[in-house]
Amino acid sequence: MTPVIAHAGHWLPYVIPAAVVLIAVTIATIRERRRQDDDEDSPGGPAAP
Amino acid sequence: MAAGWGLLGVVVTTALLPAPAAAHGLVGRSDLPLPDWLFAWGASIVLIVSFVGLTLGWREVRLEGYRWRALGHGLNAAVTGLAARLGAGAAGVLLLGFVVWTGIDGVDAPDRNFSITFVFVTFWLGLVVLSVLFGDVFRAFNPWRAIAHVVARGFSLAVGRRQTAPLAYPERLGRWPAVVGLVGFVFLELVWGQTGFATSGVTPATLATATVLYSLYTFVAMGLFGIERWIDRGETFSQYFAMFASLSVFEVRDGRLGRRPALAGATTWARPAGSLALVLVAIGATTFDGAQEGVLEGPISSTFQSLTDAGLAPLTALRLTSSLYLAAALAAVAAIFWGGIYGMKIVDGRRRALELGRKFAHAFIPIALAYLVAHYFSLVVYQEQAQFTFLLSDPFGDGSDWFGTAGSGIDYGLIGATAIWYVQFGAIIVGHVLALALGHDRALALWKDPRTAAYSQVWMLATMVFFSVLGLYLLSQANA
Repeated sequence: MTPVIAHAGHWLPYVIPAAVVLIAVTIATIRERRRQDDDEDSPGGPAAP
Repeated sequence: MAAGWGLLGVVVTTALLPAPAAAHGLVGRSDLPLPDWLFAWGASIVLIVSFVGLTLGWREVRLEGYRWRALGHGLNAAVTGLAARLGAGAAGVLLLGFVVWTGIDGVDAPDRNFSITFVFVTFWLGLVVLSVLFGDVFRAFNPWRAIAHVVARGFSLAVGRRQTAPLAYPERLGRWPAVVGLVGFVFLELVWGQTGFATSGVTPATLATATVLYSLYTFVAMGLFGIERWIDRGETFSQYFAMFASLSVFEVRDGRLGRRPALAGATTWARPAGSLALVLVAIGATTFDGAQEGVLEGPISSTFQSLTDAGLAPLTALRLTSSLYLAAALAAVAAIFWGGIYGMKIVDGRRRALELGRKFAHAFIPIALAYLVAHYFSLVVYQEQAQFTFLLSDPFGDGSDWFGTAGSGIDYGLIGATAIWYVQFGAIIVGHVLALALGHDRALALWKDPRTAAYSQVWMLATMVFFSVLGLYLLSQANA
């Protein structure tokens, strides 16, 4: 067992919030980007800000 | 906005799950009501709540293009008048001379020689705090600037006309000379002088030599590019302390002391090239120092062993190992930063990553401050007792007792381990929330559409969560 895995109990609780936030932020960004792309592709062009 | 509440919900729900096994305990903090890792979760929740609060309540640009107001004449005369400037400059020159003198003539023991504690604690750390509280105080006390102005004035009087700098400072160089100088100082402190598991500490004589060499280099650069120009761009310590002073409410403008909104000065600080690198090196250096005392202790030891097994002399192997891990820490900090910036770029693909990086560099100054306070708070509390007692009375370590305080010692019970932990935690939280606020204000200025601005800042939020969690993890391991 490598030291990193052996000490997972130390660092894993710290990684969890960062990982959760990173996943949520990635999903939010992808959804927002899709919304922007849909707005640009719509017949009326991009929505006014 | 839904993204912010969603994040909060996920983190709170996760926090309520059963505690992971083997949560790491903090030595001397057995009375903490919560396991240490839960503080990292708490910090993440505070940041998410702050992000939501900023998005809902901070709807227009507040810090960019800030107003500066001069303070009253009396206060201005006292702080920026000729007498104050001469006094501060003279004090700076005397302290510089005293550091060199004690470094050369004092005892070799670093803990009994005035110069080491003064440079690495009182000057390097104490001036950061003073800069944040009172503005760019180092400019007034800068000994190289004071000496250069006196010499330049004398020279002008002798030749009968004012001299101009022979070379124009290349604007594209920006703050890069200061960045190189900062890396050099950090190398001297943490690599050359690190005392991890072998004796290689910086001696007072080495420090005195480094001080003289840096002084000569600074005078040559000032002679070539002009005193104020070099101070404003290339001089390492001026730029380092000015970076933190940009957070202060006080600013001297055209020789007059004035007031501005807190944090607002940072919005204009990062314009010159190299500013981003200066911030990241400041964060990376503290990260390395924290990591080498805890999480990197094992890997450093193992690499050191491999290098000595390969035939390198122990001291060379130790310094090479520390150099490698310092470079790795700087790269890791830069990677987290650029990860956030590239995430922001997904929201607005029209902007270049480098442009975004420069635009948001200033938002990381509070993180550099938070890391510094969190990591060095206890060191300052303890070492400043030495500085103002026995090191003041016996600066050469030769048994003198100038002020009757040579017999005093450091009271390690002045502040407890739990109190230190709460200060560290508070510093990390406050620093990252302030960083979020700076990023949010810049996003509103950059993207007129509040929705795009908010979505760009979810990446700033992720970056802040990374840095706060990393900072708390390093602290927990360093104290374990």
